[in-house]
Amino acid sequence: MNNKILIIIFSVIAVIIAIALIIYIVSAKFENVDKVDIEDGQIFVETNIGEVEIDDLYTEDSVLLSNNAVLFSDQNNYSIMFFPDDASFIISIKDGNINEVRKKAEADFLSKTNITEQEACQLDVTLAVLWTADINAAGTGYGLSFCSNGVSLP
Amino acid sequence: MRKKIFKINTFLFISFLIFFCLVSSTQAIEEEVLDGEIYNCVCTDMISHTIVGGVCTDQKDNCKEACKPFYKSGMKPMSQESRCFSNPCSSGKYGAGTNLTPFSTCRDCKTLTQGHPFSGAIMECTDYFPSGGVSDQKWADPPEVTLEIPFGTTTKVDDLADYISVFYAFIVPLIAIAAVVMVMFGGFKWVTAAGNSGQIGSAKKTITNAVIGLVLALASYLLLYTINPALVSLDTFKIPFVQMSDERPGGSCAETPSGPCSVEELSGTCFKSHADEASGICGIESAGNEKAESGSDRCKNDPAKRPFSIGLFQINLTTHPIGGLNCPEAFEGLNYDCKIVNESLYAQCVEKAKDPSVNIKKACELSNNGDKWHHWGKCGGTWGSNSKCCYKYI
Repeated sequence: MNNKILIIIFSVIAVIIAIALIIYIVSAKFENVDKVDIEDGQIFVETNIGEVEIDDLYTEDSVLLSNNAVLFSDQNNYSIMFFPDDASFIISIKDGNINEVRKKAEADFLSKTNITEQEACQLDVTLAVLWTADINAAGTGYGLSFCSNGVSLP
Repeated sequence: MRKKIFKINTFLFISFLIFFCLVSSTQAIEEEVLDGEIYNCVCTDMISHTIVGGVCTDQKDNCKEACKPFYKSGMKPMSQESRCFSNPCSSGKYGAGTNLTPFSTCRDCKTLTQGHPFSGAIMECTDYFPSGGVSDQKWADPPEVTLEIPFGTTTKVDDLADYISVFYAFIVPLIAIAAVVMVMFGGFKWVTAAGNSGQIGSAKKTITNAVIGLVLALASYLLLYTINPALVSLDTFKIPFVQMSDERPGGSCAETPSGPCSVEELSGTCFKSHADEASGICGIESAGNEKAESGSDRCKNDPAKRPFSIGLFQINLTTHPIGGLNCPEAFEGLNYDCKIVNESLYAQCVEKAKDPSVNIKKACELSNNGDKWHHWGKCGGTWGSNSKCCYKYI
């Protein structure tokens, strides 16, 4: 009787460990799936609505950053970066009227990437305001103004 | 017969001796409390008006009654602030209707006019504790605890030390009474032993043990004091009032989601557990652009108005060396009043500051690994990213 109980307990533990191991392996595998693929300068990003094709951002005018990130638009009032590690973009507003600069930066983003607003909304884009531009607006991620998750600047 | 009378006399003598010790110790304890000194009630109402409210003779007096006439109608006194105070100097200058200076700041005083303070005596503080000294510190009043089982007439204590003190004063007489009872019992056994050596021995043992117990109880203070005076000092933890700060816990800057300013990246650097704060500062300074040159921090004396704050954390090169380069030497003047006087050094410094690992290392150094962000401004201040982020300042 005692042996039976022991066998049952060990079996349950073994099953739990096996399930946990499978979940871990599967989740690790999914995490390693590349969201971004760069071929001949073209950038392909996997999104919920399918693959979004982005124009070459690694141009002569761009500044290559560490970890293959790229500063592909650096203006007086804003800059736009692409981070291939997680296929994300950061638009930072550095100076000027933040609402006007935001519009310009977003337009420039769409232009440089050559994607539609709908496609842009599927990408991981953060719009940040530096404290030197507007201390009240700084410290918050805003997103793109034309997307559903876009937040209005104060 | 003589032997028995001797034994009875001895028993009575020891009993008397013990009783005398008991009465003396109890009186001594009482004298500690009621030493005849007149204390003053310091009364403070809810809007911190402080006056000397009346006379009290026991420091345990909470002065509620004495202070009652001085509180404005409808305003309840802060019971913890109204207390019997022994040192009149500690009240600073006071007199009838005179507001007191903070009583923790005065070290010595002189009497200007005689009389009870409330009825017209004016005492002036002549010596103040140095600013910032220990005595300037405001300590939280000990919480008054009502005892579920009172010790005699004592129903409230201030803290553990007070509790031990009251307990000692209460238990010593009890021990003495018990010792007297045991000595009497031993004496009774001795008297009724009728020459039985075994019973006499037992009686002697009872008396001896009772006396030893009593001596130990009475001498416990001395024993503890001999071992370590701190054991009987009965000092409790003093809890200073919390200095209100405008720093907001956790800060208010969003973490940077990607790149070298992300928490994931910064947690692998010297910032470690402060990576979230570093991410907030880094994001609001450069948004993760390692090549960032400040648009506002520029040398106004430089013809090209070149920047002096560079990189992820916008390190100020006019004030901080970086990467082994003494960058301030590249400038004449500090901050906006700067002028670049060493072009080569300036170029090297800018290059170093644009190196993410060097910039992060410098930011770690300046912020004590993310613990103090004073180089990035103060919460609510007029400059710097931390005026927004509100992370720990000092």
